[in-house]
Amino acid sequence: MTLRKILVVALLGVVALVGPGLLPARLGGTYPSGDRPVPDTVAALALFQSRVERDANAINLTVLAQLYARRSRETGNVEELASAETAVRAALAQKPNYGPAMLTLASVLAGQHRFDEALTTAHRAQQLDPRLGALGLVGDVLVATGDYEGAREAYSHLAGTPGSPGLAARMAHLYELEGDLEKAIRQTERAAAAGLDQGAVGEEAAWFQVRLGDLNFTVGKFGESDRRYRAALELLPGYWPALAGRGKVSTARGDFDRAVQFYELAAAVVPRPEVMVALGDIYSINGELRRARDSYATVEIISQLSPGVYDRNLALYEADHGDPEAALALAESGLEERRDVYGYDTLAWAFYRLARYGDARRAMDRALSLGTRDPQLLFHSGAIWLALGDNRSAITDLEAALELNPHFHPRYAEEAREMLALARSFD
Amino acid sequence: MRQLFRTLPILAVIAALAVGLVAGPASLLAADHLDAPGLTPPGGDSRLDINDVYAFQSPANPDHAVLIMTTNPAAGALTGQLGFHPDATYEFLADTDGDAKPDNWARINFDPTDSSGQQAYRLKVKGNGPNISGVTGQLVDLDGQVKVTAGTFDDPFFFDLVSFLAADFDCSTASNFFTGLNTQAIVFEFPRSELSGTVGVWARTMLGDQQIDRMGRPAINTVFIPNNIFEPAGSEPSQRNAFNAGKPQHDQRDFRNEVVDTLEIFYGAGNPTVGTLTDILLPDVLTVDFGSSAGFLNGRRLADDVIDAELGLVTNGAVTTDCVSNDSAFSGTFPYLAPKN
Repeated sequence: MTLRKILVVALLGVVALVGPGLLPARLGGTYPSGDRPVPDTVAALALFQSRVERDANAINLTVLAQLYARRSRETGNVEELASAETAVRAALAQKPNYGPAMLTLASVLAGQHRFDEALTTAHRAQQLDPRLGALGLVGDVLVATGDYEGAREAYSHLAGTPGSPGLAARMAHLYELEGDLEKAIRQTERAAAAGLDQGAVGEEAAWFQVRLGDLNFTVGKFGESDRRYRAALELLPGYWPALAGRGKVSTARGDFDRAVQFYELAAAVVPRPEVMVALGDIYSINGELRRARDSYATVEIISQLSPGVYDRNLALYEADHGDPEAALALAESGLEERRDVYGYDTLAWAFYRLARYGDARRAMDRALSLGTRDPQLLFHSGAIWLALGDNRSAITDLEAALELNPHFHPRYAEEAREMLALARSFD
Repeated sequence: MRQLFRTLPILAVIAALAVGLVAGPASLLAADHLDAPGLTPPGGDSRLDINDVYAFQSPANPDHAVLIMTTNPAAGALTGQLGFHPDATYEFLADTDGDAKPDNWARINFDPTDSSGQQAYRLKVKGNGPNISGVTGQLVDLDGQVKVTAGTFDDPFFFDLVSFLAADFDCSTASNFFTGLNTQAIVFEFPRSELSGTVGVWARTMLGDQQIDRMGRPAINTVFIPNNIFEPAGSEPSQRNAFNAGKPQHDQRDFRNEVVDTLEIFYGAGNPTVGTLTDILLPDVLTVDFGSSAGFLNGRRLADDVIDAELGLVTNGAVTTDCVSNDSAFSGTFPYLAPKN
């Protein structure tokens, strides 16, 4: 079978599981709720596609590119970014100094995880037109690649932008990475409210709610987390990270049936690796091994269809379910461009699975160097300490993981508990 | 599981906040049509963005004056912020004694969009007149004397935006960027005896006490106020937001230097015409005598090529046209605008 056929079969397999009443009534449609309508990106795309056909000028092309990029964020489909790139490069071919086009290109490249190119392009956009706030994107790319000081420096130039929700959200992300989760939550709440005040709609508004859903999940506040994911879905029906988020919360609450429903809804929108791994994990726990296998198989397929975008997910998947050597290769090549907290975490976990505990420890220490409080990181770290025979440190980290969120993962939270018991018994 | 959102394209999304909320599609088409400094639409909401203001004697009735304001670039198709802002006040203002302060006003407030996609509104005029109530998409006609409508229409503006941004008007490739785009509009017709003689009119949007956007003449903010194509970002700080929040009575005080700077590029420093022109352009109000059916610079009719007129003025005849003329099918009767696309 060709890759494409496998994909179709896998997708059909997933979609067939979705009952008729479970899909949102109008995925991506537009219907106003009070004064908070959902932008009809599809209609806007059609409008600007026809405008480009009539007159492929630089502005029409740039707007078209921005709409493709927006659609990509709404649907999780990274292929739309390729359409965005084509359109905006055509715009730049006509007007090489058009700042908005350059910034659009930079953000599209960042979305495709082409970080080095994104950085260069964002700098050029900044030179072309400082009004556009391209330094924000510069900072974002630096965060993604692990240059946190550089990111701070870039963001500091945006400090004058009054009340910008975008800036507040960026600072919140830094607080999160530094382990100040409470501050991250408060800052994101402020940013979300400011965004809504300023008329944010659709995916832009929903994204803030998802961030709050994620942050609250990290600290084990499932009620608040789920409320935020639901709010995101009100703002953008069918928003896949919010659907997946609700799946995650259901899992943590032990409601696996509901979790499967949500994950399958998310997968029907877009079968991203994060979602398919989560589905596979739940099916495994439930003993539905064929479905688990199908779900896991999709991870590899999707990753291959969009090379580079999902390498980190794929590396972790390989570490946990597949070939740890492949995990290591992916983690090491990933680190070449992205030496950030989660890049080192991925490397550490690949080493761990290969029983290279010394290397794992060194990588894990780099991952924890900012003080990030994330159950996944702390679980990985605790497991590595245990393997190295440092029971005290293992207890510290495993307890910290479970204290943050005792149900941070359907399988690994339990493993963390077992390791903790073991470490305590040795201690 | 935390990995779940590591590849959520936080970057692309935050970047989109940069490009979308910050400098996205709305700002490309933003008002007069480009007056916010590339950060957000005025007030962060494209519904508060005034595109154009028109003032003319009704072609259907020489005793009537017509005021039109168009708002929300592309009628919110790009931002998703549709219709009129339910917390805002949309105002027409008129100065009747020549001091650039408003002596008369008409205020319109809208309800949130209802389940059928319409917005109820109320229009109130200074003085003892009654509220006029209506619903978007419908015409209100009070004994043929006062007419009001609000809703979505074909954007009457015509301009070669692409060439403007390239600072290069090439007639062989000119096209009206606004063809096929819609806009929100409020059309208000009334006996011109209410505003007799030569008056200055302008429009503004308010959120509570805060003025978000205002406009009198076409393109003043876009052409003269930094940053613009003559004084790009980096050359000096932007004053676009200050202009949007400003009042005509203070325009000479606050923005005279900016207008002079731009005009001197074409007329040369010290040329007395610069001062004369500046005094015409500021304060930023549309001066109009509704007793005359003549167009721009007497008010502004829908089909008036204000761009050509202003280009010639500003560039001292160096550029006299953007090679684009009106392509909308206006009507000779209320509400005059072409229907939405």
